[in-house]
Amino acid sequence: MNNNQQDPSHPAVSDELSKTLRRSVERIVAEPVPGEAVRRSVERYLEIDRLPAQKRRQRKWLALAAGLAAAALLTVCWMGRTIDRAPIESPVQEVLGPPAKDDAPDQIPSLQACRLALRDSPEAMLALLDRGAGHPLMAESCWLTSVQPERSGGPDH
Amino acid sequence: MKCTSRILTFGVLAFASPLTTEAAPPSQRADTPNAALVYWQAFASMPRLMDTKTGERIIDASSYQTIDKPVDDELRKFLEQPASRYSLHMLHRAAKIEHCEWGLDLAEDGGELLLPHVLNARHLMRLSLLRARDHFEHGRHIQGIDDVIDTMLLARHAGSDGVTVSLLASFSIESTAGLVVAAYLPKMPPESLDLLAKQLAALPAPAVMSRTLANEQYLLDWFISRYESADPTRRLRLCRNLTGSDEEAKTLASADVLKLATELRPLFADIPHLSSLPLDRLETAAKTQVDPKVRSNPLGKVLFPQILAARRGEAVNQCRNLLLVAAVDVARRGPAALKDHRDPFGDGPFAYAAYDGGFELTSRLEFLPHKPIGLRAGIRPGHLDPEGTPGGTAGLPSSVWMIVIPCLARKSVLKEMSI
Repeated sequence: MNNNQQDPSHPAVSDELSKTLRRSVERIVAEPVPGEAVRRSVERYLEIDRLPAQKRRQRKWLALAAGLAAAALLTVCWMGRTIDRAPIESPVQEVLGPPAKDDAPDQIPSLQACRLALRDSPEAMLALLDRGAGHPLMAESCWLTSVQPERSGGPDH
Repeated sequence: MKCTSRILTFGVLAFASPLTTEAAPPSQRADTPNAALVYWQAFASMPRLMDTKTGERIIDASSYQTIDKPVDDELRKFLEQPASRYSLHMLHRAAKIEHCEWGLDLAEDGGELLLPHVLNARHLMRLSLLRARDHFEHGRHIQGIDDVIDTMLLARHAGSDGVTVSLLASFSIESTAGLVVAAYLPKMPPESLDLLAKQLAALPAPAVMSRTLANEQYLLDWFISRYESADPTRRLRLCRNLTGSDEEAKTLASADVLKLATELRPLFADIPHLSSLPLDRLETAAKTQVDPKVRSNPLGKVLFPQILAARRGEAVNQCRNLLLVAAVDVARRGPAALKDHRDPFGDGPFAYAAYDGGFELTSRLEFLPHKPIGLRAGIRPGHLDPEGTPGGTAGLPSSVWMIVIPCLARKSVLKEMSI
């Protein structure tokens, strides 16, 4: 349904409006587009296309520079920490000491604990290594000197 | 953005790569097999011996007290379980690898160093020697010899970590392996004896005690550096770890510990020289030069190594190894073979004494009167006849005996030593 059908009382006005609009449109279409305007439009279009690329390149370089700077900073920090750091306290130092007699059988004796046991006798050292078993090999218990033979109490003494 | 990411990643890797290389050179990882890694697989898969009744029996099974008792079904079942078999499989694989690096850092960890590989090596030895016994008892001599030889290799690997305690413990492993195989020598067929002799001769040399002792110098440096940087609480703890008692730690900490440590420096610096002295000269030097200085320094009492005991342990191990080689040769060729096996601690060959079912060899090496180092080849059922054993091993309840070496060495014998 068109306007003429809606407003059949004004057909002359409607015809006049159509003619005027048609003429205007035909005139505009017929008018040649200036070359300068076309060039400007094209350049503008290309410029619009170029701008984000430049920004992207700038961002890339910025990111690269920032990344390298961060890596360099991390390296410097790490090296400084390596050089300057205090001696690391052993996380298991509480269990490393020469063991008391009632220590847990599975506890691993420290080197110093073994050295102290060796001061008593080699058998004591082996027994410390085998702590928990309570059965150092008797054959082994005779394998070395006993600093205090009376302590060992084995048949060989 | 991809390009940027790649460049960034490359940059970070370029910075990080030296650290990676420094930590573990890829070429070394790829080209140098490390026996320690394989041993640790054996240790990890080994069934526990400590908490089980059978395990305790296994711990005793290679002792001279029980070696005359055959391996029974209970022990055999323990050996046949997959964990035991895999563990022993790994032992054999590791023993074939020459290089063994346990990854210890004595300079960094000092007296707080742990030696879990030594503990585990001793347990693995028990498992391996038990299976060797089972093999020997059932006539599978070649397999038994493999177990024994690989146990000796385990000992030499375990003792190669540069720590004196480890080396001493490795001697005990080695001597126990020798003790076990000696017990079965008289029943071994000639071809097995030939193989054993060949494999014993092919064993790599054990670590040298004097070189290992030289590493003890690290302990003083470690202690000083730790003590200097520690707060009072930590210092007291260090002293406790060093002395083994709270009271001694308090006494030590109340002294000028760093001064005491500094005074010990010349003595520690002399360890390489002292430990390389012949044993008789070392004993003299220990008595006249070292002991007075060590005893006068509270820190020295607990920090200075037991050089003499360590060197004696090495001497005993050498003697035992030579006795075993001689015993194998006697089993092959008879007592006449002894003329080719001079006792390095005496004037002639090892002493030979036969008994029903075996024989005994004895060295002149002794540290107390009538306590020579000896080796028995063969199993003597029942208790040992006190009068029947050279060296007066009265009361020994078993057939295999190894003679004790108390610390009070006889000078006359020490002078004869050339080690």
